[in-house]
Amino acid sequence: MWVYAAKRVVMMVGIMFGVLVVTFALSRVLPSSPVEIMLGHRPTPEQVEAAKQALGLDRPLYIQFVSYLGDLLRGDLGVSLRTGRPVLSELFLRMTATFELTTLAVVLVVLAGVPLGVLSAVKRNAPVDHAVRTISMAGVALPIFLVGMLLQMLFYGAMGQALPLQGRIGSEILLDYPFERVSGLYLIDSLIAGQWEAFVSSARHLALPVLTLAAASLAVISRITRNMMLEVLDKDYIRTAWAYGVARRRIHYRYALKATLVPMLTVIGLTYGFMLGGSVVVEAVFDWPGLGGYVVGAISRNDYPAVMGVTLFLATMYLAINLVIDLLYHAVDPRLRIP
Amino acid sequence: MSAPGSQEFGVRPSLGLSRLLSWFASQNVLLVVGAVIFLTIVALALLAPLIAPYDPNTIDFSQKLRAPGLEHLLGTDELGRDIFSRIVYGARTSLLIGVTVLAFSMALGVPIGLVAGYFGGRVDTVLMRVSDVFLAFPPLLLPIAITAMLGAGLFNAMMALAISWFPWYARIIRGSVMGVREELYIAAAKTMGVSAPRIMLRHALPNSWTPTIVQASMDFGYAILAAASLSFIGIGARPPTIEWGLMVAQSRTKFLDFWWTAACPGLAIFLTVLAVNLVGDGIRDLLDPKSRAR
Amino acid sequence: MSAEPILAIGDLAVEFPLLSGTVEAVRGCSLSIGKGEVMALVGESGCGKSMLALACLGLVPKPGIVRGSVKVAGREVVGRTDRELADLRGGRAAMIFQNPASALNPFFTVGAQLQEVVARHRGLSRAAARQAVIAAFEDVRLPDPKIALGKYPHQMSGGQLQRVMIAMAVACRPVLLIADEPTTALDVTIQAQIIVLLRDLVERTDLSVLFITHDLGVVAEFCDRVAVMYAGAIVERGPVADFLEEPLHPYARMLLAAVPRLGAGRARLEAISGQVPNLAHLPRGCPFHPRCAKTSDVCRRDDPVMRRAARGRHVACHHALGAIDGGVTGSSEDAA
Repeated sequence: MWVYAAKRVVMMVGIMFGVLVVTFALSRVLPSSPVEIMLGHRPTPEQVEAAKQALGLDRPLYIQFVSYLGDLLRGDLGVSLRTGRPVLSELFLRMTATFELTTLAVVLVVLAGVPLGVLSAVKRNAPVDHAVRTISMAGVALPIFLVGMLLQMLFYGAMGQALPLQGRIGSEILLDYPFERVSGLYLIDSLIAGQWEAFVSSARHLALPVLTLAAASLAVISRITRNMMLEVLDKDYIRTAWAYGVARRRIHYRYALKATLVPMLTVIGLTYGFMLGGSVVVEAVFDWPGLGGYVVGAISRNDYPAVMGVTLFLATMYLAINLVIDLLYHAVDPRLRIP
Repeated sequence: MSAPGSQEFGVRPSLGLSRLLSWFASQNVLLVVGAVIFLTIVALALLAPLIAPYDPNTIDFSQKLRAPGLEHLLGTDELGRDIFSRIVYGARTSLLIGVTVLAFSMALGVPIGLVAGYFGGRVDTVLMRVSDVFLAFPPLLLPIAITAMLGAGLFNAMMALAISWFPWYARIIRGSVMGVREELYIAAAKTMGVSAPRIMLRHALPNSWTPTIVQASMDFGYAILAAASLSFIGIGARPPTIEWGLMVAQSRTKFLDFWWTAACPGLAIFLTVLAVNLVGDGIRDLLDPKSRAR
Repeated sequence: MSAEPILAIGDLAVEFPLLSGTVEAVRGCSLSIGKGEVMALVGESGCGKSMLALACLGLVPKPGIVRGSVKVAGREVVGRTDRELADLRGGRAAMIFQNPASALNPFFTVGAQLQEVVARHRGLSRAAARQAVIAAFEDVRLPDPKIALGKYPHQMSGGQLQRVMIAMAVACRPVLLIADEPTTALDVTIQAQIIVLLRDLVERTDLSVLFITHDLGVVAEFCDRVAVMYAGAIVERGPVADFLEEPLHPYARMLLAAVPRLGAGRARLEAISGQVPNLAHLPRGCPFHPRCAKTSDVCRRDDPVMRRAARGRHVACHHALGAIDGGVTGSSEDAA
C-alpha cells in the first residue's frame, strides 16, 4: 500500500513538473509584451530594455525557468500588476471563499446524485428511471451561467428578493454583526462567533451559487452512478445473493451499492475538478469574491502574474485532490488493501 | 425427398421485423427529435441572411428593450437590436465553434496518437505523459489561461479549447494503433514491404473511427458550452462577433427586468447542445450498443 | 422408488425473445431425482444445462420466459416471485457455481457472507450464526476455520473458495444441491478432493445432487444416473453404469468415443465433427441429425421424443431403440 502511494506521488511530481512547464511557457512566451503593458503607453526602447533586465526577461529561457521554479519553492507567485501585492497572499484571501462554495456543492451533488442514480438503476426502465434520465440529459445541456441567471430571475426577481442576488454576505450584516475570520469559511466562523444573523445571511447568499454549481454535475453524477450500479447488478456475486434468498432491498442497497462506492470515489474527484473550473463562471454570475472572480478580473486587466498564479494554484489543488482520492480508493477496496 | 446433406431449417416464427421497428421507434425517438432540432439549427445558420428579419447589428435606440411580440419575435436588446436575428446569426458562430474546435483537436491529437501508438516505448511514454499534463488541469482552467495569454477573442478561445482537448483523441488513436500493431498482418505486410505509415493509415485509422466519432459527438456540445462560458466571462468572443454566450453576458445589466435578453440566447444554447447530445447518443447506440446505458 | 422425488422437472422450456430471433435454451426437458441420488447432467457448452439449473431455482435472467414445471421437494418453482422463492433458495435447495472467485462478493469477508445466509435461513443470532459458519467450514474440511472467517475471497485459493461455496450451500441443510460445473475451473488434484468431499456429504446427509458437468470421468466416479443434453433437450437418460457400458444415443456414443481411455490400445480419438447448432435457428427434425452418422429421412423430418428403451433407460432417437428391444417403439415417457 505504501509502495503504491510512493509510486503515485512520484508520478504526481512528474505531472506537476509538466504543469509548471506549461504555466511557465504561457506566462513568458505568449504575452506579446508584458513589459509594455506594465510600463503603460509607449515606453521608450531604453525603458523597455531596463525593465526587461530588471525582470530578468533577457536571460535565456531555461535560466528563467529555473529561477521561476526557485521562486515557486519560496512561495513567490509573482506580484500582481494591479495591486502590487504578492499574488500568493491575494490568493489566500480568496481561496476560502471558493473552497466554501465548491465543497458545499460537491456534498450536495453526492447526497442528491448518488441516490438518484441508484434509484434509477434499481427501478430500471420504470417511470422514475426515465424521468431521472431525461432531467439528466437536460441538465448536461444547460450552460452553467444560464442556470445561475435563471435562479436569480426566479428567487430574486420573481419571488421578490427571497434570496440575495450576489455577494457572499449582506454588507450591513457584516457591519452590524462582525465575526472573526478563523477558517475563512463564513458559515463556520459566524457560528463560532455566535453571530446567528451573520450565519443566516451567509447561508442565504450561498444557496443560489451552490445550487448552480451543483446543477450541472448532478446530471452527470446520477448518470454515472446509474451505469455503475447496473454493471454491478449484472455480476456473478449478485446472482449468488439472489440464489441464496437474500432480500431484494439488501441486495441493492448493501451488496451492490458497496461495490459501486469504490469507483464512485474517482467520480467524486472528477466532480471536484469540474467544480473548480465551473466556479470561475459561477463566481462571475454571483459576484462571488473567490478565485474565479479574481481570475476574471485579472484577465480583464491583463494582470498576467495573477492569472498564472491562480491557474497554477487550482491545478495543484486538483492534482492533490486526485492523489488523495486515489489513495483513498486503495484504502477502501479490500482487494487492493490486503494483499 | 430432399437430397442427402441438405437441411430444411424451420425458423421459429419470430416477430423479428415488427420487433425491430418498435425497438427503433422507442429507442430512437430521441435521436429523431435531436436530429430534427439540429437540422433546423443548421438550416437557420446556413440561411441566416434569408431568415433573419432584421440586420443583427443595426442599432436603434427607439426600439430598445421591447418584449417579444409580432414586430420582434424574440424582443430587442438594450441597443435595440432584434434578438431573433442575432440568434439566427449566432447559430453560425456556434456551429463553426463546434466544427473548428473538433477539427483542430483532432488535427493535433490524431498525429500524436499515431506516432505514440506506432513507435511505442519511450516515444509513447513521453507523448502520453505530456498529454497527461494537459488532462491534469481542471476543465476550463487551461483554456482560460491560454486565452488570457493569447488575448481575448473567439479564435484564440477555440484554439485554447483544441489544445486542452487533443489528449482525448490522441489516446483513442493510440489505443487503436496499438491494438492493430499486435495483429499479425502488420508483420506480414512489413515483410511484403508495405511502409509503416501506410500500414497505420490503412488499418489503424478505420479501427478507431467508431470511438472517435463517439468522442466527437460528445465534444461538439461541450465545445459550444465551453466557448459560450468563455465568452460569458469576457475572454471568448468579443463584439461585434455575434455569439450566444456573449449575448447573455451583454444582458447582465438588464436581464432581471427584461428576461428575454438572457433567456432567448440561453435557450438557443440549450437546445443546440441538447440536440447535438441526442444525436450523439443515438449515433453511439447504433455504432456501439455495448457502451450504452441499458 | 415410490417416495416423492426431491426434484421433478416436467417438460421445462426456457426461451429468450431477442431481436435476432427467439433462442430456445431449454426445450421440453423432464427428469427427476430421488432422495440421496446424484444425477449428472452432461453436454457441451451451450447445450442449455446451466439454464436448466438456473430454472430450478427461478433464477433465469430477464428477458427469459420459463414454461413447464419444476418441483423442488414437492413445491412448484415456475411462475413464483422472488419473495416466494426466498425461503427455498439457499434453504431447501442450494446452488454452487463454476467460478467461486467471481461468485463470492469481493467486498465482504467469506465469514460475513455465510453468516448472512445462515442467519437468514436458520433464524440465528449473530453469535450463533458465527458458530454455525465455523461448523460449516469444518464440515467441508476448510483449514483453520476461525481464521478463514475474516478472509476476503481474493486471499484464498480456488480450491478453498469452492469449499467455501459448498459450505454456504450445505450450511442450511438443503435437500437438493445443484452444482454447475464446480470442478471445471480447478486443477485435477483439487478436483478429486472436492469430489471426495461431495460424496462424503451425500452419504452422510442423504443429499440429492444435480451435478452439471462435461467431464465424463467425474460422472463415472461420482454419479448414480446421467442425463445427456443436446441443443436444449435431453437425449438420453439412465443409470451411469449402463450408460457407460453401452450408450444408446449416437451423440452420447460420440461423447464417450472422444474420451481417451487407458488400456484401450492405440485407437484414434474420435472428435465429433460439426458444430453445436444455433439455438435460435434449429434444424427441422432431430437437432443432431446434421452430425449423425445414422441419419435417415425420419430423422430429418421428426424431432424424436423420449422413449423408454430398457429398465430405467430412456432415449430420444429414431434409431436407438432398435438396438435394445428389436422393436420399433417402447412405451412412452415415464419418470425414473
